[in-house]
Amino acid sequence: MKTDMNVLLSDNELEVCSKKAAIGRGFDFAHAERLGRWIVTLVHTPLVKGSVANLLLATLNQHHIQPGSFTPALSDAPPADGAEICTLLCANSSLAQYTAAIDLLMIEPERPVQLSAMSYPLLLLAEILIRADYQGGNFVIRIPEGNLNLQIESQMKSNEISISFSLPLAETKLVLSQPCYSVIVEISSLDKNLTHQETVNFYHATALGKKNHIDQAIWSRVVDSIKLTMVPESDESRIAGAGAGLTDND
Amino acid sequence: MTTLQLSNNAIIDQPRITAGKTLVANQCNFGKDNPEPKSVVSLMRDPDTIMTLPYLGCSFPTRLSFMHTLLRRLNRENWQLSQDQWVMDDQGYGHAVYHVRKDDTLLSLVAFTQPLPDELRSDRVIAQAWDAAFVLFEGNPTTEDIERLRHNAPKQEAGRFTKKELVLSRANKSVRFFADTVDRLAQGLQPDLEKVQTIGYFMRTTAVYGNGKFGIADRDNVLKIPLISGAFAAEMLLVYLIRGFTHDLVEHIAFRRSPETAVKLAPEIKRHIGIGNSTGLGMAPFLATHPILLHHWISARETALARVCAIESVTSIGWQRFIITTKQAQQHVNEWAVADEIQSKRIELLKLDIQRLLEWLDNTKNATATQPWKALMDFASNQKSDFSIESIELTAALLINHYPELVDDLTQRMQADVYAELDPRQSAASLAEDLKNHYRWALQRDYSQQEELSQFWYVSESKAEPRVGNRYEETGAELEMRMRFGEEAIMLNQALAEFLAEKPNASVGHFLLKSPLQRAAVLRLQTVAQFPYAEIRDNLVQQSMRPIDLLRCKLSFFGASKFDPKSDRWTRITLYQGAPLRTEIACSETCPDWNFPALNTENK
Repeated sequence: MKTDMNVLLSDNELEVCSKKAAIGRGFDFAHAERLGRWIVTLVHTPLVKGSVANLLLATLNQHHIQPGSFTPALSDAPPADGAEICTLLCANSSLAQYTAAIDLLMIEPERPVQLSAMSYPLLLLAEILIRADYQGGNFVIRIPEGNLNLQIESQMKSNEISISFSLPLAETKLVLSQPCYSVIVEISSLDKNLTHQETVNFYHATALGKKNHIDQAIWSRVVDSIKLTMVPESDESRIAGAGAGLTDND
Repeated sequence: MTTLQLSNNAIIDQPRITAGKTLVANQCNFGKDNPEPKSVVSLMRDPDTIMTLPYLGCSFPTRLSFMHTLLRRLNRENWQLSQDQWVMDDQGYGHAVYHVRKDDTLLSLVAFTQPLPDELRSDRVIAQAWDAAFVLFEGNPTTEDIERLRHNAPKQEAGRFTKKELVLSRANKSVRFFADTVDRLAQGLQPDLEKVQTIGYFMRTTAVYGNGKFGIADRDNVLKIPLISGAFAAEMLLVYLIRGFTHDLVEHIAFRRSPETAVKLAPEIKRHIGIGNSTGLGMAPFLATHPILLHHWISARETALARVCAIESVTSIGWQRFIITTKQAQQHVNEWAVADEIQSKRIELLKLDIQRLLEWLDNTKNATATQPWKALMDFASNQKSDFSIESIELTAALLINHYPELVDDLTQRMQADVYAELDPRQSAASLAEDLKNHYRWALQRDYSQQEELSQFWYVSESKAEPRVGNRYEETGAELEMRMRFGEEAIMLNQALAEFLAEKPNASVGHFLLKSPLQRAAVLRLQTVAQFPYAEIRDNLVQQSMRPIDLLRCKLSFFGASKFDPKSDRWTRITLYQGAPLRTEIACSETCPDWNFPALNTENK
């Protein structure tokens, strides 16, 4: 596996490696696969500038997997006829629960959904983007009863929207809102595993404008994560596992 | 030749199908948007039967296969194929460039050859050097490009590439046939026909990489080039160009060795020399991990067969032409000789069944029956006929090939550049119903039995390639790949039952809030419910599972023939045997049918 510095990856490599690394870090299969797509989606969206991949690959941490304590508890009770619709609150949840909560946007468009305290909101943003069309500066999600427009409140310049990160990342807050619905995504804390040096590398890659450009430190972490999915081979298994000899001079 | 011991587990009987089961499952949803008339859809074969490993492992190429589709397109659109550079020494080491051109589109094959000590020649993925390396390049490579590729292409996985490179491959010589043919051509003789028949290629590719591997172009880039936008079309184009390159290479060395006496390959023999390929476990999980694509491939084939079976009557000429085609296939099978014990037995059964097929076709009563081709498939599939599965599938392939005008449009349905998306709006009760309909095969199994789980798929650390291990004898099962889809269905079934007991009217979205980790299983089930040929309806970790069945299915869609299994885990095949030559593609008015090529027929 390639471990050279500053590898410029194809989209497919980015997607597949992200997925494998996520599996290595213990993500369930559905979300590992999703993570690969999220990263490629973010790389190609005009919403995000710079090497998103570097940031996201650095987020392969297991705290996405296990749910935290719910505050308040995630509620999935469907609204009773005539009753006031309750907001679905999902906080400190696992990625799988966040994704399931976003699904409710599709099936209960009348129900406000509030998601918060997610460690890396860009992951969630990608989940939204996958379901959305980018139209004239807005992201439009198709839902059965109509369209839901998600407008980014922060910076919007005609057809180009950018999110600017500032150090420390913990100060960044991204709010996606719409009059009747709200999806609140907050960066709750700086990933403790993202070292200062790696953060600087992220900005360096941003300046280069090479979105698929992965610096060595983070790429090595990805490779290490992928290796967690692999089985070391003995000489015997190298032969038996593939069922062939070692030379072919016929 | 590599010698291998076959395990007892690998020797399985040819399963026989139950009468009346092969044709049609009306309960199957073949897609809301299926444009086929009901009379055709009603004749499509049941996924519970044909999506099993024994059936998939008996697949034959058809005119829908990607190689055939590609060559028809090259011919129809009048693409020009030519040699552009040939920089080779007397021993045939150096580089060459070939062009494929039409209007403003230019694709190039860049080929490199190098000396290779025998001890390093291995078809396995663990090899680190090969006789030849190839790149399919977008545009005309500059000198700088060629030098860059000269340093990277021979390294293959260890090299680094750019999006100018569309496909990457390597090949090893079929040493004895290559050397023997060079000797004979140099002496003014044509190749030994027995070797042509039994080997059939000068080189065999051992890997063909596309879709962004090692930095080459992503599939999105390839899709922009219409000629190669179909499934695996870019890879098939590269392999076709390699085949022509091997012909040129052999002739070149013979000429340099003896310019005064050397002759070129006779066209009818050259046409029968394809390109070999060794394929192992690396390719096997592909069908399980690309369910929508698998559906589109199988669905196209089954739709083609159903269209043919729906034909009400056939002319006498059409009937006689089919008999001729069947005899051609018979000759092809007679020339199909392998060392593998299981495949040899299958071929012997196939020979007997083809003879019975010809006897059935000789009966004029059958020719004048209503829906005669359906009657033929019924005859082949009927338990009383006792045809092997190999014979049933050969019959299906022959019928599909017999009606180009009826089936060729289906090649446009064989791509799937889409992701499956989960639908949270479906009712959980409906999902449970789908599960019972599409995973009957799984729900009937008892996974507590040791033999149901005795194998596991894993990725090896040394080459990052899929492998199969014995769960009870080897370590690493805790890292197995996701291939236990039947068991997943059982667990989902249980979770759904518990959920529905409390919330019978709830949606899939609410089910996933309760059980978020079932998302992958739910998505797969929804996919299979929409695309019924998407799932291999068999246990991929059971003791009797033979990975080679998966390989053969996939390779048949490429257009491979003469399957030559070397164990239950890898096979050699021949590609483009009998296909028109590079120089013939643009010259012919129509692309000749080269299914089931037979040397003896060609030489008549």
